[in-house]
Amino acid sequence: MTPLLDVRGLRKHYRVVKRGLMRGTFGRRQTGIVRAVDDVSFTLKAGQTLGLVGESGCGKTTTARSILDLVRADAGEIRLDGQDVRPILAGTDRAAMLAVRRRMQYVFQDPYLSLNPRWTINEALREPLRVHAPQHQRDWDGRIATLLETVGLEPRNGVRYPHEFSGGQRQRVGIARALAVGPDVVLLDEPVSSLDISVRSQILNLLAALQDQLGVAYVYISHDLSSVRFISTHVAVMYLGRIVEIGAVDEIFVRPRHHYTAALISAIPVPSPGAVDQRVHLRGEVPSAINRPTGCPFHPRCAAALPICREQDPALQSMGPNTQAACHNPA
Amino acid sequence: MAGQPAPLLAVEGLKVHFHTRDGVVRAVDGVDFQVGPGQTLGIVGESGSGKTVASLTLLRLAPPSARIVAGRVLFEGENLLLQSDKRLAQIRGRRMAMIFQNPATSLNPILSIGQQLTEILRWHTGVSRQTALDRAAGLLEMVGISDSAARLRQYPHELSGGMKQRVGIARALLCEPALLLADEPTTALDVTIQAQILDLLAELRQRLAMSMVLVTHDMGVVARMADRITVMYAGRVCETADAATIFNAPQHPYTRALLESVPRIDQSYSGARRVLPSIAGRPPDLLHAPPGCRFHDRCPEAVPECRQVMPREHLLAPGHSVSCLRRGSPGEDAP
Repeated sequence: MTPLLDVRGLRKHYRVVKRGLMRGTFGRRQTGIVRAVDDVSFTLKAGQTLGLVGESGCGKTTTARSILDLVRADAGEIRLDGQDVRPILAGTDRAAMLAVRRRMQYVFQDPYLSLNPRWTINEALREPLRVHAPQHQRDWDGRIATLLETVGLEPRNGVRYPHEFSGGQRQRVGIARALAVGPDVVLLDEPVSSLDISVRSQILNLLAALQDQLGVAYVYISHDLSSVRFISTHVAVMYLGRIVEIGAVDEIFVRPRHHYTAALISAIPVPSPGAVDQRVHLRGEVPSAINRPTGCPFHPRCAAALPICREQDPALQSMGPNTQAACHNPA
Repeated sequence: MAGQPAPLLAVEGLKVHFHTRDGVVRAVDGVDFQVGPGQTLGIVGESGSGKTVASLTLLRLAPPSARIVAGRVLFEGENLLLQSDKRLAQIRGRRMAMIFQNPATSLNPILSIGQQLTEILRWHTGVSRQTALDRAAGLLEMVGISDSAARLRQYPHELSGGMKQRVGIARALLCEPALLLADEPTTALDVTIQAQILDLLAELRQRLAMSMVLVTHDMGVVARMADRITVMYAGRVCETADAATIFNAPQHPYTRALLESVPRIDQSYSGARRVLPSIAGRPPDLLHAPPGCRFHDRCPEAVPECRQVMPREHLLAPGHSVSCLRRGSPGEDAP
């Protein structure tokens, strides 16, 4: 069966340029390349959630933004129901581009910054309906009211402005806006990170319920692995622009094969005092993406590194029916 | 608590209010806690619970608009709220020191690491520049920064976030304080760096026999670090007990709900219906704090009385106090 979303070989590199006094030909000097996203591939079926995890700078947000062409990728295919939509998103046919965007929507991390403070909630939700026009204008008000109810807000509050809402309510508006055009895939970029703990669980429950109800697929980006475990069916772990391990959620959390995954999971303090410390300790910090180590990019921090790890960059390979890891010496 | 040594720090009936144009915000509204020698107290709560204002008030570092309305902060036998600014300056950094949440903003960007560290040491102890530099270098090594001589000449922007937080810790430890205040010391850091910093703090407090107040919203972090835990909600203390009791036998409905609402990394959610027990509503606006128990409108166990009477903390068992009418707390105005 063709997967709903099939990302193949996605790549986004940034040139690091030093500018001298004379801009232009003389002063410019390329000093390196940041491989923000480097050959990232994954598939997603309807109703599934792929948790995209990793530390800051690993490329998870750039990956999600490239999928929607909010950041223009250098290479790769974004297949939606088997059709590569990257040329359409980057192309000049606005109607075709909008048709793709209707199917993939984005929820931003900070609901404070992603809503126009001068627009009421109704206006914020009317905008996607106006741009995409999935239905007749006379139906918009009804649609907006339904959307607000779907995300647990009172339709009569639609006349209010974002500053009158709490963070959790604003994030509900952000979710409603993404759902307005009936997408098949929603990319969620740290949707609960800026919220209070007691409000986080409300939004996570809402996302889970909406998925059960609408069959929408999520790409859920987070550094909070506990929420990833809750919401995801699959998990991809990124390190320095690469997916180093990908698989079914329980497989990844119970039996991580890549040593970085193991270290990442074991670094999370468990809310049980006196829990047995089975930590995989990591030396040092994430190296800069400009000076990526040769061989396996993780080898300088890896306790299980072999001589080959210094020389050969491991490719993702199957580690079982539901999991793949890029490691020469898997756990 | 008979037989236990006198606490190093005792906060009693602390009330800190902010007078704003719109009215009085009761950020900290009658808070008690103690920290024994060598003990780590975790203060847990959401934003607006008053945990940060309470901890800043210990050193009288709360913003100028904050008014300390009532209470005492007894530290090593003196009430810090009554001391002169001069006396407080002698205590800050020397007997009680602080690590801040954001290492990027708590270091002075235009002073080298060496200047920032030696300034404190020379001010407090009057040692020579060279002695101070040697001591600073030694501390950097102790917090896991190698090549300390070169680091002392660097500026904050040349260091990574994890490194800056290590410098912040070194700065706090310069004078070997008896009590270390840490306000969300790892929140701004990546998880693998967080793990390193927590390891470091655990090791240092052991080595230096330091007491610690750790303010955080992360239940995992307190579980790992704290001996005792105080749970705060909307400017009040809900419950205080040793860490095991808070996690294994919590009594206050808010503590219970808070623990249940956090998804667990060690639990599988596949197959099951994915619903986290969650607390309805949101924390109250402290400008219009509800009468009675601050948690009543979100509490599954609330009875009509909870809407009117504010509960007072009482001892349920030795070392375990709770503030809830449904757990036998008296009302605030009760004799």
